[in-house]
Amino acid sequence: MRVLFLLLLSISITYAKSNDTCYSVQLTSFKFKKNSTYDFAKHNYPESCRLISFSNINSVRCGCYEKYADARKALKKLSKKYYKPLIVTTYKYRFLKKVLKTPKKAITTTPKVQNPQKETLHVNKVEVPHKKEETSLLDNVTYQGNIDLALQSYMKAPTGKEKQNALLCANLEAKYMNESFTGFVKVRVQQDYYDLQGSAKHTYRSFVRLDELYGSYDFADDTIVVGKNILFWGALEVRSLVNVFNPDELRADPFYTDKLGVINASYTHYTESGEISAIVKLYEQDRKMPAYPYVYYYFPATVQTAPNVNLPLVYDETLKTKASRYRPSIYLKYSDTTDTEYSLDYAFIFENGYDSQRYYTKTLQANNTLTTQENAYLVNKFMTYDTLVIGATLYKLEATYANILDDALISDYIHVGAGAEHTLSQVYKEADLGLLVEYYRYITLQSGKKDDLDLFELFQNDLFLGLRYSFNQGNDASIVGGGIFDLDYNEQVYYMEYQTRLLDTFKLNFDYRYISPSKNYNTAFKLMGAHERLSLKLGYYF
Amino acid sequence: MFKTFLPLLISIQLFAISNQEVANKCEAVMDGFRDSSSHMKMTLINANDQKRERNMKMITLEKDSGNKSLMTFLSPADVKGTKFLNYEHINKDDDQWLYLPAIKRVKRIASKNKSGSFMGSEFSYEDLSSFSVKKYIFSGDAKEKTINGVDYYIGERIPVSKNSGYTKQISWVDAKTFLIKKVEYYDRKKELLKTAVFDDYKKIKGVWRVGKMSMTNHQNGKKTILIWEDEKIKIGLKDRNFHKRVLKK
Repeated sequence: MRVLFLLLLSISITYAKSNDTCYSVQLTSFKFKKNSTYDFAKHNYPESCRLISFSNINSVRCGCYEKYADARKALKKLSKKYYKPLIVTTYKYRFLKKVLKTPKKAITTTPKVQNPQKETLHVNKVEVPHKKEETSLLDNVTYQGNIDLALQSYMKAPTGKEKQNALLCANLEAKYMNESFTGFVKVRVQQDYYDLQGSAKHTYRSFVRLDELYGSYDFADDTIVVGKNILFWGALEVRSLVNVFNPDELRADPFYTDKLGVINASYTHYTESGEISAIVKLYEQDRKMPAYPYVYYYFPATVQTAPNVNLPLVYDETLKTKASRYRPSIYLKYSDTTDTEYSLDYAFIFENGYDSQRYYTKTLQANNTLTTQENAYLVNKFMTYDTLVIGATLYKLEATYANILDDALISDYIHVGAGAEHTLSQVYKEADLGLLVEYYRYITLQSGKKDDLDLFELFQNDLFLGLRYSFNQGNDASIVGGGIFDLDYNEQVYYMEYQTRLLDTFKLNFDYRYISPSKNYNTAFKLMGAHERLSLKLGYYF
Repeated sequence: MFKTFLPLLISIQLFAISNQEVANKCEAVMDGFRDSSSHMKMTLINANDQKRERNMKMITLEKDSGNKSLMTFLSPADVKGTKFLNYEHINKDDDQWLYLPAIKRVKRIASKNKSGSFMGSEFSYEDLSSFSVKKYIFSGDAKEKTINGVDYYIGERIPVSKNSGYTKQISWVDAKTFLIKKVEYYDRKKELLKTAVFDDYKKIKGVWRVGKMSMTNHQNGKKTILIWEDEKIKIGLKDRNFHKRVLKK
């Protein structure tokens, strides 16, 4: 509903017009370089088209229609010949100008020579409005998005949890680009079926979330970015150990990446083939959790505190920190590519600030309920992610070392992941087969502190073996599957995912997952319980 | 008898042109664009004549060591904003990166497979790279043939790269303009795999640029048409426009 409202709002803003304006169809817009000799006549646009100049943008617009429906008809007609024309509002006076029939003479269109407003006044004696046309801003805006419907069915899930789930979500993004400046906004809206039911069934997975809202300014060799955004770091496929700048959304399907935007400011200097960045994350945010009926809510509903005493356990989303949560986290990053026979992409990151690894503590409240809270602590952290290409094989490494600064419960730790991805080409017709192997190891460096089990670390001594079969056809269909084997706790995860494009605007995902948790250790999977699911997702993209 | 044929043999030898020479001239007429920017419309046609359209924006920088190119996918909508950055190398595998906008990830990809399908089309990555004599071995003289009043030089070229999907290619070159008009591609089994037809050449700022390429796959009955629209060359692009930074823009 909110998505529709946002869409309707944006459409109404876009197409709102006054009496001085009409609807027209824009075929193209572009900037003139100095000394450009653009020849409008040479392009043989339809009679109704005019070359319209704004301060620094020029566009070709056709027809001047009072009714939007008429403009739509013209748009449909012109779409057959021109790439992605769009309806815009234009001042009527611009179309009163007659087209000069001088096809052989090139029109010199430097901003100094071209003064369309004065020219129009002289020819048509029409009063020119003084305010700027709003559409000149929209010329530089692009938007895109998708709406997904995901249906999940759990053949195996813990008792008390919902066995089916339906989720509707939409992602909408808009980008404004003008010379060196880029503005970007991305919003996600999510509606869970159970949140439309009675409150006892609520999973609290429905929200409107601003993921990104930032501005960036490019200099010749530098860029400054300020705002809320998402960064990706990493090289491995199953679990990226260094992709820690943005926290994970706990209300999302844990098998798909869904990151929360982070407010930060960054400065990047670009070298010939690499970059050096300084990033300041400005604060640590709370994370909301789904409610108990959702399969991926990991805490029990009640906790036994004494014989025959069970207290309800409630998640308190307020993040606990020893220092202020507004204490900035600073990241310094250097990355480059070697110009050697076997090319190596490498990146090193140093962080001083809040660690991405978190732990949970319980507190007994006055009303006899237990609350559990997420705890964050400060670290000095060194990270690297690297990819080496040798022939058809990619070798990948991710490693992190964390030195804990302000929390006695947490040990310094090392987390390493290494992997390889080899592609066999045209194994059947055009299809490629990718062979993937990855290994992960997590080591705490001090004993007597929280270990991997306390921290719910799943990838502590794990091997992943996988296959990726790409059909290499027009619908980009592929099958990805594999198994993750815990070598310490005898746990296995198997999955298979098929995806394809339908009718060029829809995307279909089908996945199957099976988790066999440890029988003897309190791993995160054991707490979640044995698990088997089928998932179907249909996405509409625009 | 000998006296009759000797002058003829001499004249044939005098007018014969080597495949290498034809290739050099082909490169010369297409070379020197320095940099280019264009919109690419790709139509995939399957054996049942069903069509699908793909749109891309491409910029290229001409370099002696191998061209650099950046392709931005505009449609279908689910891949809109995906970018593909390629640094061609003559003597080693290309450097390639893919940007996936949904997760903001820049992913390094292995480029060894030059023969793989590009976006599910009948074009492979090597079909789309610029023509360079350094990429092929030429031998012997070109054959001459006249079809519909147009003279062609027909010559064989063998890809240098061991990762090429082809064992040989037969090119048809317009004898007057030295523009490549047709190429026949032979697969690893030395069987005719595909034929590319080059049309709509335009001379932009003194350099010939192809406007349309139709690739027919004889083994699966599929066809792909690639059209370059609004192409501009010598627009002042620099290495900076092909730095990895542009992927995330």
